Amino acid sequence: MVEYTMPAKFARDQERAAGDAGTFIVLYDTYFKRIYNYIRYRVNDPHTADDLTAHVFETLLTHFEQYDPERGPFEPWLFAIARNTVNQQFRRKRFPGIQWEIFTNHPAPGPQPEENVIERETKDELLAALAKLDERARDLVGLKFFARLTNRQIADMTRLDESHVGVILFRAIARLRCSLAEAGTGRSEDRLDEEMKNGRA
Amino acid sequence: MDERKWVDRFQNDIDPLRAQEQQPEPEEAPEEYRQMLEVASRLSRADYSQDSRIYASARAKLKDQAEHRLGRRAGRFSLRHSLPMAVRYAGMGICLLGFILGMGWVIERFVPGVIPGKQPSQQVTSGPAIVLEQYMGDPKPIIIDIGGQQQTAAIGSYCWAKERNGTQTTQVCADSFSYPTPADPLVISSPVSARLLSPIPATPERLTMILSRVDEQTDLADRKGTTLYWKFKPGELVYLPLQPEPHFELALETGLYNLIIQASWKELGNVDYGFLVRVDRSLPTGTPIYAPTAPMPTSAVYPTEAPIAGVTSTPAEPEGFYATQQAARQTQIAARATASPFPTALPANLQPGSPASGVTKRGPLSLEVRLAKDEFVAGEGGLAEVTLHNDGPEPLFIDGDGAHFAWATLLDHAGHSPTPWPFSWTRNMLGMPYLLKLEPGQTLTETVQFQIPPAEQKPDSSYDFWVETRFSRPDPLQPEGADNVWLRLECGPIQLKVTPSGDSNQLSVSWTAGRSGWNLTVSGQDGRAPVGPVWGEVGATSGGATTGGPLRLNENGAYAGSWSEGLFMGDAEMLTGGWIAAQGYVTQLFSQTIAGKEVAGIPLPDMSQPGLPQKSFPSLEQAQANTAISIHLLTRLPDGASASGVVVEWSGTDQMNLSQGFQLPGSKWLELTQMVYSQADQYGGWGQAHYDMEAQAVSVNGLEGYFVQHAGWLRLDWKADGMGFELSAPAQSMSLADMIQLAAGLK
Repeated sequence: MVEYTMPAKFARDQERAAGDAGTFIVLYDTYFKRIYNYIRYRVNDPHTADDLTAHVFETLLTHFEQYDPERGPFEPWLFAIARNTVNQQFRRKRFPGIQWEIFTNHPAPGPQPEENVIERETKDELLAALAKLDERARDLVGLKFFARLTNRQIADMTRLDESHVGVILFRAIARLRCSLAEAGTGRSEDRLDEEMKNGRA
Repeated sequence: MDERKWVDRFQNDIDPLRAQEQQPEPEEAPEEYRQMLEVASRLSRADYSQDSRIYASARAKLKDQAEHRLGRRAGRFSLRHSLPMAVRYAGMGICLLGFILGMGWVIERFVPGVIPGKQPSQQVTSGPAIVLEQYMGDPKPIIIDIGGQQQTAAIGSYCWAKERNGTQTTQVCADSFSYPTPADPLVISSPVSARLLSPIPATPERLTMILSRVDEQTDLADRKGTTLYWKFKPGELVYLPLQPEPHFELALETGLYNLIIQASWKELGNVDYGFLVRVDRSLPTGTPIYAPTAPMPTSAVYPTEAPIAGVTSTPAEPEGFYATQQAARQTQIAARATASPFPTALPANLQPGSPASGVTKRGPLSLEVRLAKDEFVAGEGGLAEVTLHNDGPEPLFIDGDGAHFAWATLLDHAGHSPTPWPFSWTRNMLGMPYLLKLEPGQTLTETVQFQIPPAEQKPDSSYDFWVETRFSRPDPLQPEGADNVWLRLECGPIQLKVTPSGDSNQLSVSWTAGRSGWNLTVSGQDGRAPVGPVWGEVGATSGGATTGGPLRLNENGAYAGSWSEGLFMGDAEMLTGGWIAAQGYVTQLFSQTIAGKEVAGIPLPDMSQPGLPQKSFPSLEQAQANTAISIHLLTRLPDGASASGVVVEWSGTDQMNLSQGFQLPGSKWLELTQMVYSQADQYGGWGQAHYDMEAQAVSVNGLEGYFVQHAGWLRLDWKADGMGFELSAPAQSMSLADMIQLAAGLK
């Protein structure tokens, strides 16, 4: 198993139960990319992702001294903040930027700068496939691949059984495979469902 | 592929992928499994972090704040407070939003402070001191009492104080990925009075309700025992009175509703409480009721214009925030509004010339605008002195961000605002919404800047200049807060004439910047400082730090200033620049780059701020030949109307606006905008009217529509054939009934 541990400096500082600015910045540097990627994946809008990422680190700073290593590892705690932040924003109507479904149904797009097109198409293809997953699967895929948490950590966070997490992820990836291959093979998700029922995928 | 066999192996195989190590080579694995590992690998490699614009700037600010907070236990980081507003303005085409996002506190140093005496209206009402420690632990449910029936809330997400150790409180957070509610709905008739009963006697610092109409077939996510789990669904956000046990009125159509109460107490935390109610009978009330599913025509409650014969308001489910915020308010407010509606605005009294002015009044509120002149050269900036006075017996709440309460708008012959130019840190860095309480007899003043488009934008020969402010009455239940029914007071149009600029209108600018500070000198062609005020903004960026903000008004044309101490002491490249404006002169841009070992990191904002990509076609046929969508036509046109071309504008990958212009007699203009949007985007396809605070619900061929008169223009929005449409025309050219007739002829 791959383990992700908190930075050693942070762990040392936590031993004396008090952080400092340097520790905080180490954490920022260490986790910015993962937090941003996780949020970007969930909200699918770079501006909103910037906003929420800043919010997560502000929350971290606000509650920094409340973190107690004896109560659990740091990463799930941090990503719980990120996940809460995203979920809270989903509930706010005044954040129309958060629209996963927008990627499932593109009208004819307008022109874009040429150099961005290929990269964007590649990203959009993956995001479009992810958008077809149900909410729970999207949540778990985000926690697994973007937040990079372990199945146990995900299980603790989502109150699911660890093996259940594994099954959901397995099926989510199977669906993603099907979605991504769909254009080339014409194979539909309905067919995947049928095959799964029949014990084949 | 046998799922049971491969699930465990899959978990082992994807871990190296997540660590971005070498991909495993599964032997004897089916092709499907290999492809799944490919997908997992692709997910593991997906990196969007280069999209972020805030890494360096947020890091610098957080570091500063961490030093304060963790070192000296002082100060609180405020980056977040500047962000949502910036996002709110993203739709304005601000292409450098990412840059702006990280600038919060630096800009705050630059911007003059908030106007003294202004206080946010939604302050916590502090009651008697209550020991809250006994409520720590797990959050306890609240109860809703509706007409004597009670229901205990299901608890959703929360962050709650677990225990206190000395001065330190441990908070525990739990998150629910759906809205839990009790399984058995409270069956009620409507309208009905409701009350929340809380085990905590203290006044919450925030109390809102999200009201969503739900369908068990489509919206239910899960069911466990006596709890239902509902999918997240946008609802109407209602601010409830900040009381320990608030009363409010519900006026709902028949149906099933989630009531999600979000409450937070300062020393305890915040909780989402879920209730489920079923309205089995909705009684006609004979008086206007704010109801989430029955839009209240604005004019019936707050008449802003005379009723228009032949136009019927049809029940429809409003979605837009402004169009529906009234619908979510309480019956008391409606009753008060009906009994004593806020008066209609009087026509503005306008004086052209030098100086030019306008005064208008709506009930006790008067708005006065003064300009030094009404003739400008292309590219010239202007200043307007705005005065707002409350002559009534009760306070009013003025919308704004603490420093600004008035907005200036220029409209061209087609009712369009010019593309913003040049980039303005001040304009784009509006703060959080921050209500000003305007007491009886009190006056507010503000100098509002505006900018005539430069020659490159091919400005019109004249523009209509409007200034507006938005206000709300005190909440009848909580008079120290606003009732959130927002009204507008606008003054205009002051017609500004625009002439081409000449050499004598050009400023001469000397800009010298270093890592510690800058010098700026500005003069006219005669070498003397411009007569009258000079204003502008300067900014700089280097090594992940950035700053920007306004110059202080000055009449001698010479400026000098320092960057924040230590902000640019690194050896990275440094970009500096800004703009300066003076009466009678074309606004001048300037910049200077200081070489460094590394690139600057964050670019300076693009002062030219190009608008959305667009293309013009002289005829409908040519536009159709170059456009994939089917262009809709108006089969009926006003007498004397002549087609005047088509403009296609792309506002992103998911939306396209196609505008057909028509010249009307008397130099008037009619425009039909067809909005193509993603069908999955529930916010897409609506134009300005739908989102206007004073939108009126109307019927267009039996379809949901919204109408508003704003800044002298009528705008009508509706959707048909999976697309959005907006008709706009000057108010003098037609009536709403005329406009609905035109819309009805769309094909």
